[in-house]
Amino acid sequence: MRRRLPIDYAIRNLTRRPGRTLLTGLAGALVTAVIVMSVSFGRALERSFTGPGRGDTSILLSSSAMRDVIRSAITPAVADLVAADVPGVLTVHDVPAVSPEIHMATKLRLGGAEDTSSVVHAAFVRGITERAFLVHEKVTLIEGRLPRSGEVLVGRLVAPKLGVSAVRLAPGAILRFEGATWTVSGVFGASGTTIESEIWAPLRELQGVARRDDISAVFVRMKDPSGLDDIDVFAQRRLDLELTNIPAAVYYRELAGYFAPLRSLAWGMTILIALAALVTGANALNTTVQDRLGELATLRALGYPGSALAASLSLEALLLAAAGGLAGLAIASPLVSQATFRIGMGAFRLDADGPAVLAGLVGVLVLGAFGSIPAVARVLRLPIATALKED
Amino acid sequence: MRFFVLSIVTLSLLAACGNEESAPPSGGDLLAESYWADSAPAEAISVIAVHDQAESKDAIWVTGRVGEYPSGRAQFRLTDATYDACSDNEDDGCTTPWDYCCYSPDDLSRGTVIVEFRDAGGALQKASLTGFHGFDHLAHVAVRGRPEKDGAGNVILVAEALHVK
Repeated sequence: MRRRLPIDYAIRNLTRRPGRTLLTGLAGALVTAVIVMSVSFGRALERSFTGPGRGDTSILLSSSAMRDVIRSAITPAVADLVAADVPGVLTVHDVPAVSPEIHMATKLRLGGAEDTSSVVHAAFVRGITERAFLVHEKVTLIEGRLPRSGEVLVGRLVAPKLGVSAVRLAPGAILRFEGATWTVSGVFGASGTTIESEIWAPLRELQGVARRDDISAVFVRMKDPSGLDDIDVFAQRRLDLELTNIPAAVYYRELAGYFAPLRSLAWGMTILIALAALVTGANALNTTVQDRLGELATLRALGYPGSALAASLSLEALLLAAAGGLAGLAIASPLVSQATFRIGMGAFRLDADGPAVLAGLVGVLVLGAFGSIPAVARVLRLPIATALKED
Repeated sequence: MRFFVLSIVTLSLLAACGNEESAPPSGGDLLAESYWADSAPAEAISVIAVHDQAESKDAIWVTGRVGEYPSGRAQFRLTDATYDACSDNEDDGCTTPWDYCCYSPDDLSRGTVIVEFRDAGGALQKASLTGFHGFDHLAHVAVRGRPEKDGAGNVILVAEALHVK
């Protein structure tokens, strides 16, 4: 039977050089934290921009708007025409899930007209009717009530996006935009999607204050995703309306694509940091072997095979990586959880969820395993007599 | 070795799932062969000219280029052959030249008709045109059909035959 070194031998060795152990563990912790943050960032970005894009929903917008809803202007009649002419539109209690909407950027001030000191914020406003809730199923009222005349709903990420406390946008708060004063009637959530950074106002009133006879787009939800072809047929047939039909999933995927370079940059930095930690860890373990040449040679002379020493060294590296990983999670968790990231006209919330935590832990363990390879290779090649003489 | 095989199987399953998700929606069958015309008469009229004959009850031959069309439905926009697609201009990097976005909406409306293949009940057929005797965006085609004008002034050619040049 082949002799094995006990597990506590590896643990004890870690405590023999506490300074080096601490620094190597810290490197592992930082790598874990960076991986967790990068994965959280990527996942939140993905969730934020692809989340609103249901497979059974399509967006009709102006063919001259270059696939940009904000630049689009179409006649409000499109909504009723779609409901009447397109077969397969979802209906809920006989109300068709066809939502005419205005999407616009605006300048917003907090507080009433008497508050002349308030800062001008850039904000995104969506003009909606009650049908919007049939199409945007993820939108849920989490505080207050639906808006009446002169009132708006605010997404729960609007406050962090504007850099103000949530209290300033709580139900009852006063806002000013497009030359009108609005009262917040409620706050909504939308499963972490970019919609949460929007302000929703009644369509007719928004048209009035923004002096617009048109609307930006019509969102249509079908009973079945295959019905999206029928919306295409409608858009093709109605040349006079100058419409383009874009499946919502495609539209939001294209939006997310704009931020792909940002995500690539985050991953690039993560990989570089991980490589730096890998080299640092490998060097630390290699130095440990150099310092313990005599000890390791003695163990070989006592009959422990090279593979037993290699296994013990690998165990040391993995234990240290695991401890560093746990510390990294402790570092990343408060930084990531519920942190809000502002981007363009929107915002999204980071969350250290299961996949992010798993990626961080697995990543640091893989680094620990790879980092131990040079030291293990050296131990396996260790010439016992020479090593004993060097000691 | 077992881990390796398991990994390959798992990756294959994941890839298969991905393929299923990204598959295009069902486009139905190809347009019936009975609509194919081996040739088109030389006196086929232009798309612009169809707008003047939109009230005609007789079937007419119209020639033009294929513009946009939806997947899985026997419908397409036929644009006047005198209109240049964006791709006809070498300096234009347009990736969807068949939408003729270089033209104003008014010009485009005047030079475009909608071609539809309908069933006996008058409903648009759920059939695919892509690949029908080389049918594709910007292909030069001739269509025999009866023109109709809707309340908004759009001209729809209810097709009886199609020839791809």
